[in-house]
Amino acid sequence: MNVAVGRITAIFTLFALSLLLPACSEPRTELPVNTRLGGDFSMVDQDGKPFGPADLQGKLSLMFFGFTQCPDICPATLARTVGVWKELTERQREQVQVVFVSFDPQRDTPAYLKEYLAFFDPGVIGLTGSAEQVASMARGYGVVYLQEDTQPGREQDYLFSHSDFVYLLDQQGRVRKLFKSDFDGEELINDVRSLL
Amino acid sequence: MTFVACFKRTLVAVALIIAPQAYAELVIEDAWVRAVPPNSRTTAAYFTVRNTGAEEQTIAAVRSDSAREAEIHDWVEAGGRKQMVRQDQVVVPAGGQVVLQSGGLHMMMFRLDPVPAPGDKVLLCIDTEAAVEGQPAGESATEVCAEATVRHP
Repeated sequence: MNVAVGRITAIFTLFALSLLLPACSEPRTELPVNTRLGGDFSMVDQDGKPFGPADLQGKLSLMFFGFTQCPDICPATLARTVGVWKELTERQREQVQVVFVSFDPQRDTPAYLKEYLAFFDPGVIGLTGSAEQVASMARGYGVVYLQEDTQPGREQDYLFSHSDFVYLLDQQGRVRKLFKSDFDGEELINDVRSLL
Repeated sequence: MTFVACFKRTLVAVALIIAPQAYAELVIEDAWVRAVPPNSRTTAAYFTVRNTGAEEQTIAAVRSDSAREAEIHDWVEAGGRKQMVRQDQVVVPAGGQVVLQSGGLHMMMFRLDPVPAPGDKVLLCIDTEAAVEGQPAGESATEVCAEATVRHP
């Protein structure tokens, strides 16, 4: 009886192992393409040049929506995203661009963005546009932002409440993954490398 | 730094030395200010406030010598949006502490003047009395101040 139980256990163990084995040799699963986010948009970059979906092609993009007067999450996320980019080898860096999209075109003009972003790295691309252009691009990427009320006399200090995802886009400009602003740097860099 | 700014800072430093905060039950520790681009108008400061006393204390105002306006904000997440909400008061429990850190409670510094550069020292003050408009940092009898270093996170 015991022998029979032992044999059955052994067969089950072997069967279970045989199920697990292929997983060992299988390559990493590819990041799925998010077909709901993205779409057409028309913006200008920090040099005032038009920037559209075609400019997201050919390189991976790490894209983030925010505003420069944001004191906490936006500069922290920009600094960390640029930090991940700097961890790549020089050759990999040439294939990855960091894109900051402002939803505060009133204050974030191209010239202002250029000076602001150079502090993090002169290679960071800054996008802005008319209020309508910004709203349209934000809609495409499922970004929500809302200008908050200010106290009387403090109108120039207005802030936004906003979603805070970092988007990983592939060489075709397709969204492959969303990261929370407090992302794990190692996870992000591994995902970037998996697409290179 | 202009002569006036330097003189002001020296005065504050002297005031800090001759008026040690023995009276104060609140202590500011690990204070730092986020380094931001030179054309920024805002930044955030982070620190821990420890209450060494036996009674709870309430922070009712914050000030800095580098910002025309300062407030304590917290993050609230609702409907997929993160929103900064001004905190009129922050209670520091007796014998306890409150931590201001990125992504949580933080001190907002509006209209930076001047914009501090990495490595600069900035004066941060917390006050148990409500804010008086236009009052400079370091001049209230009920405030506790600390020097914070401006740095990259």
